[in-house]
Amino acid sequence: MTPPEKTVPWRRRARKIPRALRRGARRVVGAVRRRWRRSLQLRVVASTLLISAAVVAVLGFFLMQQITLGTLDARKKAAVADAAADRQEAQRLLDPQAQPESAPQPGTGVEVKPRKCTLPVERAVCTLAQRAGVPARYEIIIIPADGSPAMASNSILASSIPPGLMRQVRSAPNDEPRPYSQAAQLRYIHQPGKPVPGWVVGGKIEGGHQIYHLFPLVEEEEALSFVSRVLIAVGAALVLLLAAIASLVTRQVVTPVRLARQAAERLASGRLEERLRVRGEDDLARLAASFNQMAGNLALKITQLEELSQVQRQFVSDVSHELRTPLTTVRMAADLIYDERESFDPALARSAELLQNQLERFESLLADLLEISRYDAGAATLDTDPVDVRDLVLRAVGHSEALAERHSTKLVLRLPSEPCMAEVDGRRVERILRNLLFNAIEHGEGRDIVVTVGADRDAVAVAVRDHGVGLKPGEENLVFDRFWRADPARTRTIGGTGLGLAISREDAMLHGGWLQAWGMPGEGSQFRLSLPRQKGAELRGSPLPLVPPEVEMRRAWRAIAPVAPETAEVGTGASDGQ
Amino acid sequence: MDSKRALAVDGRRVLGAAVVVFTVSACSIVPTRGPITPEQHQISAGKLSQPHVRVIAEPPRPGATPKQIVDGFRVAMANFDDDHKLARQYLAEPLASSWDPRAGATVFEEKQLTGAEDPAKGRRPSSDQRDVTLQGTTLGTLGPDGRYQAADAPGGSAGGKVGGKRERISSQTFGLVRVGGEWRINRVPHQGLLLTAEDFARAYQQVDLFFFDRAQDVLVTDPVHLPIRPGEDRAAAVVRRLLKGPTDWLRGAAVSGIPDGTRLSELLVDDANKIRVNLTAEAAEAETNAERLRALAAQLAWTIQTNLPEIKQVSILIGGVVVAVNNSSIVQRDQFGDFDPAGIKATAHGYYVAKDGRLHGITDGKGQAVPIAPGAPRRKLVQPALRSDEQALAWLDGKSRVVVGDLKGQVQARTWLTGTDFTAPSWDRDGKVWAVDRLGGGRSRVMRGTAQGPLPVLAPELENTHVKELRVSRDGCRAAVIYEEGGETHVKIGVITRDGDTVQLGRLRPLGIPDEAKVTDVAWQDGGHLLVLKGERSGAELLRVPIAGPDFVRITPVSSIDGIAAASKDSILANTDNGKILLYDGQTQTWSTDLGVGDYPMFPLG
Repeated sequence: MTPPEKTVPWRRRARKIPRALRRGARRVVGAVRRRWRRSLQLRVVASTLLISAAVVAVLGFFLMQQITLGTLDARKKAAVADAAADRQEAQRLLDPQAQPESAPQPGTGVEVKPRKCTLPVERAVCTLAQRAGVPARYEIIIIPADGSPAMASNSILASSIPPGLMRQVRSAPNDEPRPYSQAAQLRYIHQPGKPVPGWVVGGKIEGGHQIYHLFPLVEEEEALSFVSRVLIAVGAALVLLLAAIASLVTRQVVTPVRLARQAAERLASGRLEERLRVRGEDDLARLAASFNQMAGNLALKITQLEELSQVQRQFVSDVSHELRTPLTTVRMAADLIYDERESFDPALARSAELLQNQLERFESLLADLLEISRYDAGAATLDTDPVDVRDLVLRAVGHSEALAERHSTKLVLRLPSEPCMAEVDGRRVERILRNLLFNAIEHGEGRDIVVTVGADRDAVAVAVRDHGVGLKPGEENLVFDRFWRADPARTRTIGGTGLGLAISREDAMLHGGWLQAWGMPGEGSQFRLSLPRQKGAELRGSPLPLVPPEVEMRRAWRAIAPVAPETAEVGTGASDGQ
Repeated sequence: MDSKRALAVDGRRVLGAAVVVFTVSACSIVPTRGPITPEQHQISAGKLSQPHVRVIAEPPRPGATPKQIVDGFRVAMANFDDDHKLARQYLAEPLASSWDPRAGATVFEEKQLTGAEDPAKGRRPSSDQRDVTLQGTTLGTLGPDGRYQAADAPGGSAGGKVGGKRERISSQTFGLVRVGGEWRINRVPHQGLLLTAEDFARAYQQVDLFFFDRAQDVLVTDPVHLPIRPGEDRAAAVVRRLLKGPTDWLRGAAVSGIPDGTRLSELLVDDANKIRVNLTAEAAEAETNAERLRALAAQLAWTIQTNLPEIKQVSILIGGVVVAVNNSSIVQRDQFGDFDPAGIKATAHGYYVAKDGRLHGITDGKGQAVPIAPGAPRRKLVQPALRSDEQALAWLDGKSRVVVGDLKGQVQARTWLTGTDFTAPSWDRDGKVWAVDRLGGGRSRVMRGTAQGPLPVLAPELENTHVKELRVSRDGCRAAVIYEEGGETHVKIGVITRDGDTVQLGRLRPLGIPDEAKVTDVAWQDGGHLLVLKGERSGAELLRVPIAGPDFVRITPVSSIDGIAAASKDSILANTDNGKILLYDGQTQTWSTDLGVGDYPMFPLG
């Protein structure tokens, strides 16, 4: 039992490592790509690097080739000259008529050393090897025509002669004065397995002896590899230098552009006083100047518009205030008339009632206008207390019960058992809820209205669900606009002002909360108010879904059904199981 | 704006490329002026780096005839490239694995090599066995210890046989057998190599090893031949051979100051031609004794610097630690001049006996009379010999007495040896006079005289011969002997071994000179060379003969020479039959003829 328990986490961890690596790599790639897309400088430097590297590589290659050709050509000429000089000497030494060293003259006491390099071939190799110097500039191999053993100087191996060259020389006529040559790998006894690049010159001399000169090209190779190393180093330095220059130049261009971008961003965010510094008379300076002009114009226009808007708002506020005094007087008079309506004839009494109703509406409209102008002026303040949101809901529902009864609408409450405390302005929240309920009753067409309260650690939410005509797509935000109505032909039955939802949204935003709407034609609509529990805390999510769960579920059903209607149930069952 | 920047970058790139081109082309300009700088050139003279010639061996060709196989095998034997792996391809099993190319070599005179291909005895020509016989003249053999031993020379023997031991004209028979359709050798005449004289001269080099005589008094030259193996460090090869000790021939006569079992662990030659010889810890035994350490250093310095003249300094390490000899970590041959294997001082004078019977010394090319002991007979000095310190003289008084006298004439001349018929006396390093008493009837007795009387010398090989001359070498380890045996004249070199008080002269070996019968006189030149006078009157010739090697040098005389003496390679004294004294300078290879008139030229010892 224990081994699987031990191995499984191990395997899991082992699987996690490559996944983590892949994730890390993806992150790096993503960062690089982002950097590539966003940085003009990076793109310019990278392309400079690439193009200059290609140019330097091509240039270096040709340069190296020229140097190599030149060096080897010179060495080859010297080698052929050496071989030609040696050929004559070898011819003399291998001439069968030639006598060995002259006999000593009597009386001079010359010592004669016999038996050292006595064979002609041996003597020839010995003499030529001495001409090659110490250390040997080249090695000699002579293959005699008479089949006697071949001789080599020092430690050169006969396998250094390329077989093709040997065949060519062997088949050449005996008096062929022209030597043949070929590049080859020279092998030495004392360096087994380490062949050295070299040049072999082979020829025939009179008598048919084959004579090969083997020139090692070690020094040339060292010199050339040194030159190539230097070329590579210089090329790399050059490419880096070019990249650095490109980086520097781009920076000179990009920095003002970047400053312009930042200024534009700040301008866009509302800081209209933002301006660029104008230096010199170049393109960038002119860009800065025109930017500044544009910013100035924009600021002017925006200020003008703001002022206009301010004036309008002030006008509305003032009008509302100014209307209140005569309205109060009219109200007082209307109250008197209303109180005396029973003494009037029925038509007049009906007019008195109508007057009273419309005056009440006028008043509430005026109140709402004042309230909204207070928001526009930024004069709205919060008066927060820890309140149980359930109480607020109950109070709002209590207030709306009469209206609901009138519309024969049932209000269904789904409240959590524990209190949902939140630091809110109770009056404003109750007003929101009341507005939502009124709205729901108005558009609920007599069907049930469900009020749900939800809470989590950070937030509380209230959702009001009706089953009326619902909202068309795109109307979710329009509902909060002032004096907006879904169907302009419809009259307001309850007597809403058309400002209720707008004020509610302003209230919710004042709390740092959200007021959102969802609706579908034929499905009804749902309004959700989400508020943070702590005053001033940021709202990250809502405890309740915006779309009612039953709608979401039905939508999922519908998505599966057209694909495989018969297996739909099985599929869901399986997915449930997972 | 973008295209403008691209253009600017492009311009820079072109400029950069141009800079590279200009820089590179500027480098190749050769300067034609500049400061004077002292240049160092590594001295790479010496045999170490001299060019040498190798024979190229080839593997056996398919379908080769037995004779071609033998020829190919002989070429492969002369090739030392790969430790004779190629030569082994010519052999059939089991010989291929048992054949030992390091077992020595036999050197043949090539001109007389003839091949004869015969079917193996008792078999038909179509059989799978063949014999190839090569007729040749054996010049000498090389032992596994590297010593070259010349074969008995022709001319001194009738019928080509000497003592029934070695045949001068010999047949070398190779047995061949067919293996998988190809001929291969399954029988060789010798374990070891069969080389022509040319092969031998090409593939081997002579190396002079130095050991000590038993008295640790002087270095003894022991010439050996080492194969030139391409790529092998010659200095290391020489030192390795030195560490192995003297050749078998000198066993009992020469000893090595280097402890047995010492090996070379590392050898380095630096740019300043200084050599570092690192010996294994076995050599530490020599460190306990200052004399022994000095002997070790002397042997190494002499051996290295004699064979590798380009080496200027020797530094000896034992187990990686530098050894100080004479309070110096650097050893040079010159520091050990007292052990000079020449055996005498470089300033030693030559002497001769003038017409008036008086001894004359040679200084500045002119003879100068030296007074002889007053007690000496008025008669002329006969066959005189000088002691090493040039203070005493031994000569023959009549035939039967060897007399020793003081050179300054202050001490009465005394008789050291008495007998019947003495050869010329010869001093050894110990101050004893050697002479051979011919007893008549082809019998001789070697004697060693001291002031106290004669001491015995065991020389069984000479007992039944008629000895004509005996010269003890200056290092005291060898003696050159001319003797007659059975009507034949031989020139041989024997080794003087000492065992307690017993002194023995034996191990006589031939020198390999042609026409030995004509040899009239011998003289030691140095530890490794003997000067031989051959023939008489106008037919006389001088040979410088190595004691272990095939290459003797002919020194052309100016006129007919009668007697010789030599002190080194470079100075030879001779007298003509008309009484003139000649001096030969080996450096200039010229004879000086106007030294004086007299007889019996001599140097101390030898």
